[in-house]
Amino acid sequence: MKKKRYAMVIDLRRCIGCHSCSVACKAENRVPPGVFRSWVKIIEKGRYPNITRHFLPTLCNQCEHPPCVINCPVQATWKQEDGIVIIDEHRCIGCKYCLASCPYNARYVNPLMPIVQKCYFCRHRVYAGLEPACVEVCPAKARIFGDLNNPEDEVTKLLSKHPFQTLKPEMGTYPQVYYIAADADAMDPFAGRKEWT
Amino acid sequence: MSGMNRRDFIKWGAGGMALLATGLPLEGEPAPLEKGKSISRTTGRMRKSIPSVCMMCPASCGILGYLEYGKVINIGGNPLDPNSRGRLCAKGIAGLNHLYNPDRIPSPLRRAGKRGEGQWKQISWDEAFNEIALRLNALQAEKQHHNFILRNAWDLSSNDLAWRFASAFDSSTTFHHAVLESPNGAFAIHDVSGHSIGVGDVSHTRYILNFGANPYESHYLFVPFIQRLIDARINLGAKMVTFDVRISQTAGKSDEWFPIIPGTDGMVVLAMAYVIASEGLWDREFIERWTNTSPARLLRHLSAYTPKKAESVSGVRASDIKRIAAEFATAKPSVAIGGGGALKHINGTSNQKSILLLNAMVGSLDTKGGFIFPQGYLLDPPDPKPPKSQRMNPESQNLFVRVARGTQPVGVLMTHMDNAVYRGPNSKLISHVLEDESKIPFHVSIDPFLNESNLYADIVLPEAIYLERWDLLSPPPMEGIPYIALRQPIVKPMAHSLPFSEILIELAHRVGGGVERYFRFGKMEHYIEAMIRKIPKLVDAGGIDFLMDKGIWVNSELKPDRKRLKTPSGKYEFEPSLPTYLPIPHHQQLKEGEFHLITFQWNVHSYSQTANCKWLMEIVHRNPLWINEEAAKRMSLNNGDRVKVTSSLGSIVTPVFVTQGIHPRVVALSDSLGRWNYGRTPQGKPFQSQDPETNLLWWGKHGTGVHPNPIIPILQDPLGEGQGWMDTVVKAEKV
Amino acid sequence: MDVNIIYNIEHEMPLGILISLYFYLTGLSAGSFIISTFAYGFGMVKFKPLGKIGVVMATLLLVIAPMTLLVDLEQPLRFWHLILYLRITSPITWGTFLLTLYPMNCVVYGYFMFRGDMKRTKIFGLIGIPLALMVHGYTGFILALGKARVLWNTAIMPPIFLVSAMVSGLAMMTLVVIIKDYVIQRKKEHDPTLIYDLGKLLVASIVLDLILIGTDLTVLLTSHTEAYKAAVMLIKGSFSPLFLGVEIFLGSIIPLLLLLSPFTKRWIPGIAIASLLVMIGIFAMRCIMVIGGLSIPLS
Ligand SMILES: Nc1nc2c(c(=O)[nH]1)N[C@H]1C(S)=C(S)[C@@H](COP(=O)(O)OP(=O)(O)OC[C@H]3O[C@@H](n4cnc5c(=O)[nH]c(N)nc54)[C@H](O)[C@@H]3O)O[C@H]1N2
Ligand SMILES: Nc1nc2c(c(=O)[nH]1)N[C@H]1C(S)=C(S)[C@@H](COP(=O)(O)OP(=O)(O)OC[C@H]3O[C@@H](n4cnc5c(=O)[nH]c(N)nc54)[C@H](O)[C@@H]3O)O[C@H]1N2
Ligand code: SF4
Ligand code: SF4
Ligand code: SF4
Ligand code: SF4
Ligand code: SF4
Ligand SMILES: [Mo]
Repeated sequence: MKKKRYAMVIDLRRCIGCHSCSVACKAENRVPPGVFRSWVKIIEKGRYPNITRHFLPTLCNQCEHPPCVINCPVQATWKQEDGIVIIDEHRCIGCKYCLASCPYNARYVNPLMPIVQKCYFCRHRVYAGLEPACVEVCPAKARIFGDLNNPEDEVTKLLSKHPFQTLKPEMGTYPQVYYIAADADAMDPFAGRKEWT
Repeated sequence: MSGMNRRDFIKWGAGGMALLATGLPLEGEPAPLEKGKSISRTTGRMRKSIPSVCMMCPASCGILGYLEYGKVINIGGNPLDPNSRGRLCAKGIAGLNHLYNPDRIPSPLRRAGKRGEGQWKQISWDEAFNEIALRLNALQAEKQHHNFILRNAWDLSSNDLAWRFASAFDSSTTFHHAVLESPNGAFAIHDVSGHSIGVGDVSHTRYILNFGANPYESHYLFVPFIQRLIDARINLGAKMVTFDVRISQTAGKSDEWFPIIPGTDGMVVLAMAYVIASEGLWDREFIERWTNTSPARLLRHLSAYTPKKAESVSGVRASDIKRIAAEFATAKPSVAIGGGGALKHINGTSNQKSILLLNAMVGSLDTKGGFIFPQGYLLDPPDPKPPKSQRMNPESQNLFVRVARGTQPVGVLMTHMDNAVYRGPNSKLISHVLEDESKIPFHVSIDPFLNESNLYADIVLPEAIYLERWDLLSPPPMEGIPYIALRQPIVKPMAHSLPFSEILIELAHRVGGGVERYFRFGKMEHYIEAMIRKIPKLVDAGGIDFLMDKGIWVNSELKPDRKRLKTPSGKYEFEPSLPTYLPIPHHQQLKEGEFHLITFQWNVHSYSQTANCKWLMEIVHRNPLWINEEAAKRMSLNNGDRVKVTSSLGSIVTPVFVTQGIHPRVVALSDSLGRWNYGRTPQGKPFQSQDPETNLLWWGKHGTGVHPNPIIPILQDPLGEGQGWMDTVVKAEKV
Repeated sequence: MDVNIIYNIEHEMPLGILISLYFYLTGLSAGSFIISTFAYGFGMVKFKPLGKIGVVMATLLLVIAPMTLLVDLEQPLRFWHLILYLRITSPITWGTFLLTLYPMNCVVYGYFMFRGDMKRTKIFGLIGIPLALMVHGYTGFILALGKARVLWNTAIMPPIFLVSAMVSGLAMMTLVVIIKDYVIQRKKEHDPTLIYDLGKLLVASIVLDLILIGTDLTVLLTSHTEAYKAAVMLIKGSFSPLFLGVEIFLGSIIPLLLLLSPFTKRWIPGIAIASLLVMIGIFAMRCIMVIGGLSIPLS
């Protein structure tokens, strides 16, 4: 059987910006207050009365070329063959170089136990045959998880049918979280930050 | 299986090692992904799950409580629920924060200081019950049954028990709020169709015309409704057009958004109806067959509502009204829905009627993709039932007005899951009344938490939260096929709390005097079983055991049955008084510097319920005043500057959020923030508790926001008796 | 386009003042080592008095520097993982080796120097030079390979760090000599030419440093949007007081004026002030790089 290649598609035509994914992730992975594995950025844009809202749920992109992995000095984080980038919490020394190296702010130091964590596509669930927590709850079915090596999988189909975007392609990280109908301003870290314009 | 080959064996071996090493299973070849299960990260074992029903908002989604070592570890969706289909919103998951909240009331409390001082003494249940029974007995002895008042929440199933208790006591008054948006909506729907509830059949529609609903963030059937709406928009390409005074999440994701002057939706709706009639785009056949009015009468009535006139009233361009009306009439099926924005006004009832009429014009009442009236099972509680008391008031604001005026005597006030001071209009009046022992001699409150209202109670009884109790429900089925859902305890009630039902049953027996006769069914489980026994198909399926196992029972033999109207004429009754647009008098001349103040709901909050959920407060904890950029510029306000917002009742001070996304004459505040007495979590400052995470609360540095209700005056729609939440006129000044 | 952020989260800065301090201390160490080799490695006799001070400073600083790193680790007791599980692509791994080899070499080099074994001193001095360069160069690589951060991710970062190490090392040595001669051994007569020569070297390295920073800024300003915004942050944004005010004006321009002006270039207190300002300026530079680099939003 062919190897899995896990990916997530976030269909922003469907997303309602409800934060259900973020909270599901907090509950599933005991993510303490102040830090997030997944969060939903929400912007409004335009001029009255032509305004729209846009949402951008974010999480670790499980990069194909993950700078966090390349820079970890103790091999405490690596990319599995199935595409999931994981952290060995027992090996991590907490140098935080991966935090500084990740272009997506995906990692954090757990304030309750001094280790570095991030989204790992809920691998404990996926390997037991369950969907990631954030995917299962999503009321709008905007998050879809699956295997890109399986042509019949919904993620593969969606990506072959629709134009998609990834975050910061210029970083050469090749994210495995794909967005359909993402808004450029929502993806732009500077848009709407008055102090930066 | 003996056919395990070497590779499998190696994999198993490796898997076992990995489990030892990291506690996590190794990469395997998983089966297709399943739903409705949860696995422990530490032991790698599937968790035990118990199905139940969410109560963080009225939508009543099916949930699964996942247990590990007797603790609820997580809450997931129940995939068997035909409404929510296993999906959940953020509030549903954060129910866990209620269950293990460090500020749950530890035991019955008796007031130790003055009312409102927050001084309590812990007492035993026995003491508490005796004292309450004594008070109630005194009312019985003095033949003042009528002065017992029970105020209950929107929680449907406990409404029935509350009613039973009040009626058995021969009290004439229980109060509860109507679930559907506001009593205005329910009143109008009932008036026209005889049904109690209505909703857009958004899964099958191709056009959604939305007047003041915000289903992307709040809807009384939130998760069930929004997933169907999204399906229709993406799979059927349904167009959505939203009228809202600000850019809600719904408006911001609609194909078109029309900012409208508050309270004028009815005018636009009727103007659209006029366009459809005058251009002959209507479904004449439907009107003739299914309504008690006629095309001719309609055309005559509607001719007063020209798009031009509507433009001058609402600010929506006549050309847009014409275009949207034509689109709505020709896209089939199409549906017009109304939400708080149309209903929470003192003309809300007629607005809802107009919306129903608009649906009728295009034949979209009780049709696939139109406006439907989903009926659940009518649950029949055990006999004997007490005789119906004369007055069961569905709304409650003016209870306190009447008490203040001295026209409503009160002997004993019992409140359940009710936070009138916080959630009501004119909060100050309500707290003054509650503070006054001469007006309210005895006040018992039943709630898991101390809030802004039960701060004034004499006795507070700690209630089990919804994850710890029994209820039987039949929520409005989105697919039209009624189903039954069981709320059952996922864990035993924490500390010394008891479910509302058990409290009433025990009280009934202690009070006696005939009240106990209606509570002989024993425990709540028996009450539920009695209702189940009256549904033979469910009994066949296994009755309560089936429900305890699955959480949901759907009678798959039933087909959605439409077109069975409950009105006397068997038709939709728009006559004798065809819907009209009623201008809101005090809106008519807004002076310079005056604004409409409207309120709205955040997707992660549910009124007065969720501010003590750390996962939700962490996301939304501020409550700035939304103001249009142009208006802000005129007042030289920048983002974050503070303003004083003054209504006829007083003022509040809050920073502004300057946005392009709001009508220049409107300012907006959310209604779930700015808590002054709801435990420690809302304040966002770190504190020690059994939950180590409470040491990490961080949002206190941003302040906790203000609450609009103290400056919202009591204003009632004379028809539906709903509160005019969105009708306040305020002055805003920079401070 | 008018964009308003309705919701986003704030992220804590992963690295801060401790790491800036670490970079600063390794820079000082590398700088002083190289200066010490002027005499013992390259036979520039006039710098001979600096040899011993240099090696002592270099070693001392390199003992303190890794402490700051260790304290900054979330799991300091696991530091040995750095050797056991090393990943060669990470510049921190390079640092692990360099931070082991370089102090050892310093000790050996210093030992021979104090023993007066000039031949061996020279050998270890010459071995030490590339090590010292790498010790500081690698910290530049730590930033350069952090490709998420636009202010860091430039090939010019290692040379910038090297040159600024020289700058701060020279300034420190100058200061040390001045303190030794004019504060501690006040009574004795001293020949100030060494200090003047150090001053000249300082001028040269400050100029080189400014050229590199100018190059970096020029490229940032004309590169993609994010780079441009980073440059603007330095020139007129939140970090401009630190960058223009402290690093450039106080830390480079004023010292250059003091060291070049005919009235002050032979004035010992002036040289001392210049050196002190330079040291402050370079510390500011380390903070700007680390903290400024991390304060540019990513999401
Ligand atoms: N997240 C969340 N969901 C909830 C609840 C909750 O508290 N939180 N509560 C539940 C309950 S009990 C109810 S009643 C429902 C209510 O849910 P909705 O029916 O959505 O009502 P609101 O959120 O009060 O108001 C909806 C919108 O009306 C807009 N609006 C205000 N005035 C006007 C106007 O004059 N015209 C128009 N066109 N728009 C206007 C507001 O900007 C707001 O976006 O939600 C239910 N679901
Ligand atoms: N400004 C403004 N105000 C409004 C509205 C508006 O649009 N604008 N909308 C109005 C409408 S439509 C509604 S429905 C009301 C809703 O307003 P409320 O009825 O006040 O809100 P709830 O969220 O139902 O929470 C009631 C109380 O229930 C308690 N509670 C939580 N969980 C449990 C439980 O498991 N058991 C028990 N016994 N108690 C529990 C909490 O202490 C909480 O204080 O608000 C109204 N207020
Ligand atoms: S749960 Fe789904 S719809 Fe909600 S914010 Fe997340 S991705 Fe969007
Ligand atoms: S998103 Fe960040 S943490 Fe995740 S793999 Fe990519 S670089 Fe690493
Ligand atoms: S913090 Fe841990 S995972 Fe990240 S780079 Fe350092 S050792 Fe590796
Ligand atoms: S996949 Fe799991 S860990 Fe990742 S964001 Fe979703 S819930 Fe969190
Ligand atoms: S919509 Fe959310 S809060 Fe309401 S019942 Fe469903 S899961 Fe619970
Ligand atoms: Mo409501």
